[in-house]
Amino acid sequence: MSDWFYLLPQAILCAGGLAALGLGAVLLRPAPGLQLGGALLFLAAAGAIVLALPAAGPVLDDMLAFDGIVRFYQLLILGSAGLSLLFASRYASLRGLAGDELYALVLFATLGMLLLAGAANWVIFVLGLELFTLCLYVLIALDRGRRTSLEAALKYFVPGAAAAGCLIFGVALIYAATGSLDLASSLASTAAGDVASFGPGLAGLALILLGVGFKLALAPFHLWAPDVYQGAPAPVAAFLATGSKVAVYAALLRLVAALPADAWQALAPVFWLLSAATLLAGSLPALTQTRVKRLLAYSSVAQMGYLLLALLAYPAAGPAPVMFYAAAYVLMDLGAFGSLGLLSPVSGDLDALEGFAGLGRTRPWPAAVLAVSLLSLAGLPLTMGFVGKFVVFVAVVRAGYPVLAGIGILGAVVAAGAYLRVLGALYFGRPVHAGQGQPPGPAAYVALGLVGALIVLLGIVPGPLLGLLR
Amino acid sequence: MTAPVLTLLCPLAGAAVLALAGRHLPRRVAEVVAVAVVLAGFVAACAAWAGFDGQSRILHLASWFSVGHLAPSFSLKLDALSLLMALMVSGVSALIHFYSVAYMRRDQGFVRYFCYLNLFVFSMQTIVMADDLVFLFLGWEGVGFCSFALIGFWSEDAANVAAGRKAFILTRIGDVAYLVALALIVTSLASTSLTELNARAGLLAPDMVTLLGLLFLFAACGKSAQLPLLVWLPDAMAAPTPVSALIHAATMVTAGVYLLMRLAPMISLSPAAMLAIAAIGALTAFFAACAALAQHDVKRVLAWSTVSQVGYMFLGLGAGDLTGSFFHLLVHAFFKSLLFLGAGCMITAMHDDHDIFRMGARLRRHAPGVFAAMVMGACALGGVPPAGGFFSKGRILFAAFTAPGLAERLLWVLATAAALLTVLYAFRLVFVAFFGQPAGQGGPEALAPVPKLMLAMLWPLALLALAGGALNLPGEAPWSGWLGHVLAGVPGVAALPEDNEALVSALDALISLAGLLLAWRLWGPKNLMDWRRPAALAPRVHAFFLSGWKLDALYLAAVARPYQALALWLWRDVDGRGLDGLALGAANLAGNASRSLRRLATGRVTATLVMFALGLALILLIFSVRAA
Repeated sequence: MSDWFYLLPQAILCAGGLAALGLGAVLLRPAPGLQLGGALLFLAAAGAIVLALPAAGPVLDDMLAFDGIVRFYQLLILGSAGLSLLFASRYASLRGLAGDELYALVLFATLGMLLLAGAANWVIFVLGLELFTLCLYVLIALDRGRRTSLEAALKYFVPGAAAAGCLIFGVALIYAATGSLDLASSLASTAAGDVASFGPGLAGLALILLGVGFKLALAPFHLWAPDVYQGAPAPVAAFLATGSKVAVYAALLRLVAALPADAWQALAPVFWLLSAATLLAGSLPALTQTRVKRLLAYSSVAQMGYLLLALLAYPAAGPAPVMFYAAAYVLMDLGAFGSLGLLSPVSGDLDALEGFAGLGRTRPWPAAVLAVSLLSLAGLPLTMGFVGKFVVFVAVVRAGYPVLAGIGILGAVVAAGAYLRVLGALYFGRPVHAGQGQPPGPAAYVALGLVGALIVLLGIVPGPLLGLLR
Repeated sequence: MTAPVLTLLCPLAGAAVLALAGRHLPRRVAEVVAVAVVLAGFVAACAAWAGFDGQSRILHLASWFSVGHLAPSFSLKLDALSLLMALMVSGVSALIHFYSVAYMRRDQGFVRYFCYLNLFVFSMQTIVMADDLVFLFLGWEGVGFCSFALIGFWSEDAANVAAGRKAFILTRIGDVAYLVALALIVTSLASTSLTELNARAGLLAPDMVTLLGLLFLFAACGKSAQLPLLVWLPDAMAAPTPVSALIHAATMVTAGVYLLMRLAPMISLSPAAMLAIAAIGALTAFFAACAALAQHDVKRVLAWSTVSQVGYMFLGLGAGDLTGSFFHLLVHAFFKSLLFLGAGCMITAMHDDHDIFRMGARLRRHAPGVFAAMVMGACALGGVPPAGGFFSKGRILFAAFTAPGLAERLLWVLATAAALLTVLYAFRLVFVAFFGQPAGQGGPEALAPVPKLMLAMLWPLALLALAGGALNLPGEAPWSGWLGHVLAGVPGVAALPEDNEALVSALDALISLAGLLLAWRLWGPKNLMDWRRPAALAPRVHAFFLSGWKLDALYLAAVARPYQALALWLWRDVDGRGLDGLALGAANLAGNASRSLRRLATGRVTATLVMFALGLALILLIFSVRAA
């Protein structure tokens, strides 16, 4: 089979994005159903090809990797994009945001994420990262009429530009030190022991970590997250919080796997510190936060900490914990942000805690999925979040980081307090105003049902998925 | 082999129907369902007994779960012992279900009542037939739960609920020993099958066998109301009378001794455990007979008598005579349910008054049938020849007499003394309740009629109680020793030596007749005016026995009060001040940390960029330290 087949998913997404833009040029007002259906069709086609392609080593002159791990992450990204669109379509059309750019940009961003997830070369790495970041800048600012939306885009853009600069400089340093742009071989040769390549190589790695840390909102590079998540339209926040993070983790996983032992010796304490800081900086502020979108932003920061924990345990425990937790995280945050968007009135996304009072009774289905997602984020049993945390903690303790596991558990306890306040408002509060928000529509119901059912089902019967990942 | 399964499942189906749909059924339909399933279970048990070919076998129904060495299954052990016991349980249950229809005719909670009663029969049959100790425990806890629910059945009265709770807690104390024994068995034999346990008990260390025997004895003491866990049974009389007859006389309280019978091949390897069983039995028999002699409440007389009679079963088993113990178990089930159902008739006639001193001769004239039934029951209980109790109790006394040790001989003396007390309290009950003159005692003016259905149920039981001795007559005749022949294939059954049997039997007969005469002297109609004399002569002794040797007060002072004080301390000081304070302090700490961390997110882009620089510096610092 020709190597070029491995570019087919990306090509399909590119074609889909162009088609969405073209549709806007041909038809003045394309039907939302047509746009959504078309976009989903392209995503599904890309997914089918990802499923069908046989695993292979690096292809296309060692530009792209395609093994089981990459396939899993690419499917996760495509699923996250599809579910985000299901949550977004009616939300956007009710608010007049459903132009062709929404669908086109989501497809282009997904293309970037797939590239990043499969990157075997620093150029592809940077290309994929910057492609989806560029799309996200625009998506965050989609609600042009709203000041907060524009502000959020700006707050993502300025540090983002700085981080991108650092990242590219880091890549340049690594290239200068090793003479290679290949991800695996450049990292391998930094470890050769000679000072000339090891020093600059590590400096490059530090800069790359800064760039990646910004994208993932790892502490201390996370301060943009609350503002951006709060300002972005809820379904966009869902996509931003899930697809982009998972794609970066896929690349990070390959990076860790390629690291030689002595470089890992230097990197592990950094990961240790970053994950401890991220866990605390995500969990603690959430506790007293009364703006729910900011609370969810902090929560997703904390979740990045758990994923980093799992990554730290990767050399000892293998990829299963980090992959399972990534899947759990995608479902939980999609459910949380997606149902928040569905519960929100057209006049503006729900944010203050009081706005959620009594919604468990007046809007039972979206509220139930929000509740399930929050319970899962809190790590309660019978949800996927519990299994994920359990698997991660076991791996971390086995890898020899008991203190870090303790910090993680502490963070989970503190964060549970924050989620419980939202749950309390949903189910024990008195409704403030009846009939806010619009009926979600069939597409969103499909997304709600899928997310809620998967969180519970994989929480009760995680065995098959875990077995697959091992 | 479907018949034993039907014996088990019919009552369960009835309970399920009543629990799910009972509220929507007319009263008559619910009653018919409840009675029909138990009757069907009885027919199935008859069929199972008829189809039994003397070969013991294990029926594996399904596996339950499997964790490590623990892999319990739903399996039944079908041998002469379990099938006969199942036959007795289902037969007595059927009679008592019929009786209940009349007894509960005015009660609104009949669905709940029959549901629990059906569930009880299922649980009891599980104990009887289960081969797996975990499956058996399911029934063991099931009967405990049903007993709890039915003692507190009239829950408007807080005292009834408290009695149910007391019964539940005391039997649960025994259950702890069951669970410990189960854990020991799983770890040492990696199997939970009774048959396996009995077959491989010889491989265990002797101390282990003794320990297991004592643990199971303690569990059996809880369920069978033996010393030291017996105080719940007299209070359990708060239950409706048919429940007392079924659960607290004929079946559930014998579950403990039945469990020990199933384990007999293992326990008999340990002389210490056997002696402990015999000693507990004889002591309890004497202890409870004394208490029964002082009671005024007809049901409490019978409750203490049950405790005492189950003590005889323990004694027989401990003396190595499984056949005699099981013989007494069967005969006791007949005469004690007869006595309880008769007491139910008396109570109905007396408008729910339980005091025998307020009944008197008018009750005999009002309900001569009940009187006749109670006399027959008392004869069987007191061991007056040739009623059933004479043969079964005599066999146990003989077994204790022939047992080799001196200790067993002493226990025989104690049990023989208790036999004298037994016939005394049995006929005290009859004479006081049916011959006394309750003038000015505050009883009801006119007696109430007794429903015919209730009376009808007395006669089959009376027949079985009187003729129960025929199950295992002594001697060499072709019809004698039937039970012994049937049980011959059951593991743990041993034959008794023959010598001196006539002598001991003659002594038993003498004692029972002497006791009968003495009771007539003390409480008979000739002494109408001073029937209280024994009580009046020694009021303190009387009060001491009335309170059950003050065991309740002892437990209250020695166990319950200190426990309560400890609980209060743990709640108020340790939990309230200590742990809550700690938790609140931690929460405040987290809240403060939260607020100060939130201040970092000022919303200014420069803050984000400054953190970039700091973070990068930190990473580079770590790298340079590690690389150096």
